[in-house]
Amino acid sequence: MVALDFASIISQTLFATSILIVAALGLAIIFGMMGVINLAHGALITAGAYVAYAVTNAGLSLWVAFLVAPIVVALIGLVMERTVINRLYDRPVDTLLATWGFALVIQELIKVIFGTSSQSVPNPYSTPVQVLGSNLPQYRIFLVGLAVALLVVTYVTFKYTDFGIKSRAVIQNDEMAGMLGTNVRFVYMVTFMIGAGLAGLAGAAVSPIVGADPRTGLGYLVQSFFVVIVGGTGQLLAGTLGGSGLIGGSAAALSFVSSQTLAQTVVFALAIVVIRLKPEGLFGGQ
Amino acid sequence: MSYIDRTKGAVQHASMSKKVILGATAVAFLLPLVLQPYLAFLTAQYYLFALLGLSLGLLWGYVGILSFGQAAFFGLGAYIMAWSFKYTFVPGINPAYVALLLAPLVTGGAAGLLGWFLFYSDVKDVYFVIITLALSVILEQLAVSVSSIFGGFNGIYLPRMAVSIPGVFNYQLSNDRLFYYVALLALVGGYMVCRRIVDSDFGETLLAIKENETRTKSLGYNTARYKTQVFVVAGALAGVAGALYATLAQFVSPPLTGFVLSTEVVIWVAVGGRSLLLGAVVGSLLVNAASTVLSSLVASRYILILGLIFIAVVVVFRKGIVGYVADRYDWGDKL
Repeated sequence: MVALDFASIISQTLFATSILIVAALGLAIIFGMMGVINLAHGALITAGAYVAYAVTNAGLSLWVAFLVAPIVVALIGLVMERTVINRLYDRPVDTLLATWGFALVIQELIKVIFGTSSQSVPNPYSTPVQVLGSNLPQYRIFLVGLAVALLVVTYVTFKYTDFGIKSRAVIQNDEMAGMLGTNVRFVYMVTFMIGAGLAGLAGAAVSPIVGADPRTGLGYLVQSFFVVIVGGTGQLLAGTLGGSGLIGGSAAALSFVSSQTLAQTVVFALAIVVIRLKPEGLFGGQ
Repeated sequence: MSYIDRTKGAVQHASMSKKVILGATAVAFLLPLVLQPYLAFLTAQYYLFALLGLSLGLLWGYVGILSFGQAAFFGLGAYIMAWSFKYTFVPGINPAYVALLLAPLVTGGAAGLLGWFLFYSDVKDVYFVIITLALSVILEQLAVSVSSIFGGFNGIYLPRMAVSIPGVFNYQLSNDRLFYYVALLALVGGYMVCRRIVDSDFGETLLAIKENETRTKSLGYNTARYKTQVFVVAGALAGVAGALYATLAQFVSPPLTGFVLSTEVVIWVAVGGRSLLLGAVVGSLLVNAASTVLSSLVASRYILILGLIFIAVVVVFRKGIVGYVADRYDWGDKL
């Protein structure tokens, strides 16, 4: 029985929100920038978790995995984009279907390479720390920091870098941006790689908590979609932040008064109502 | 080509379509003569999956609604059959009959509620996909966690249904060859219902919605109502398929409602051909038969192969198998 103290409710809510930010950001970038529904996002998270497992299993530290996983998974993203996705930009529903095909392929390849049983990944920060009188797992505090850092880096990248400015031009009007000399296809390709790489990073980040399992990513897939849709894609960062807080945070908070499954069911149901009432998302608009 | 020639062509096409359908049905009716009982059992299962595929084919091919949650209705229908045997809703009446009446009412009703809720606020395309997908995830989670009602992971066992006339006879369909005909009749019946719908004026409007919903709306059609109505029909068909599946397999469990089955149905329909009713049926039959054969040959690699085929179908082979064959041999489009 978890004591209903205020500090642990706050911290659990914060952790759940942070994990979802990390998990959903890649999806939000691909959907927001390209309008592509990437149903392979969950499988890419799983791939990231397995890269973390392979790296730590080889005796290297998890921090190496934080570097390797995004690169490997971004390369998987590159293959997906070059072979299939780039043929389908004018057919959104087909993109969604093709990415689901990739999800199956990636998930099965993982099973072929690593087997079907789940693997554990060592936690580099296993000792809890005392914050405001309650014991908090150190690694989770690190995840909160990671979520904040990712939001800041994403904001800076899309606000100030050359690539960021070009990609925002492409979102606003891809034809016009193309005529003014931006290589639209290249921007799409890089955006897809960034989104995939973030999924890989998310997989590595959650692996010490949930391990690496062929089904790891599936749960995050559905939650991430709700984050993106409830948050809306008009404001990428506010949407991801707000959506994660609503989906992850409220499920975590509710799970103090009911079972975890029931909490999640209630939150999903509420999310559907939100989509019905505000299809552009809570933080929609430009 | 004169108008008369074109009409003649269309009539010829339609009669060709009819021949293909009748031929396939005739073969299906004679098949149990050569099938081993276990194969008859499997084929009956495939027919019920095909009915589920057909419900999606109607939505996707003729209205352009892609539902990633069709298994939720199938699973709900299956649980209704199981509950009917467990709790005997109406004492003295064959519980299978009660379930076969209740299943389409409940699943159709649920679809109606959902359709009213979503279509009237113009939720469509990818948003509709995500919501329907989430619904089947929710239902599966509920089925796992609320074990007092759904039996949890262990599921619920139920007997094979009986056909009966009270006071006259009561015959349990434990013979798989007999149940084969029940499944086949359900599939043929379901096909005829869908055929009727798509050939009617109502179906013509559905196609218009698929082609251009905004224009159809501006011509004065209440497109949300049309979409809701056809969603109800599809939900009810999936519910009946699920109810029959439950009493055929004699066991229901949470995966029947879930995410994986929901996405598989989409693959069946895409592979068979999403723009023809027969495509949905044939795709479901072929992929399921292939899964049985291949999973004994290549075991786990089967899903890998299926995933690659699915990607290929989506990118370059959009008509699917039936769409391609029908074009090649001039079978017309009333398939």
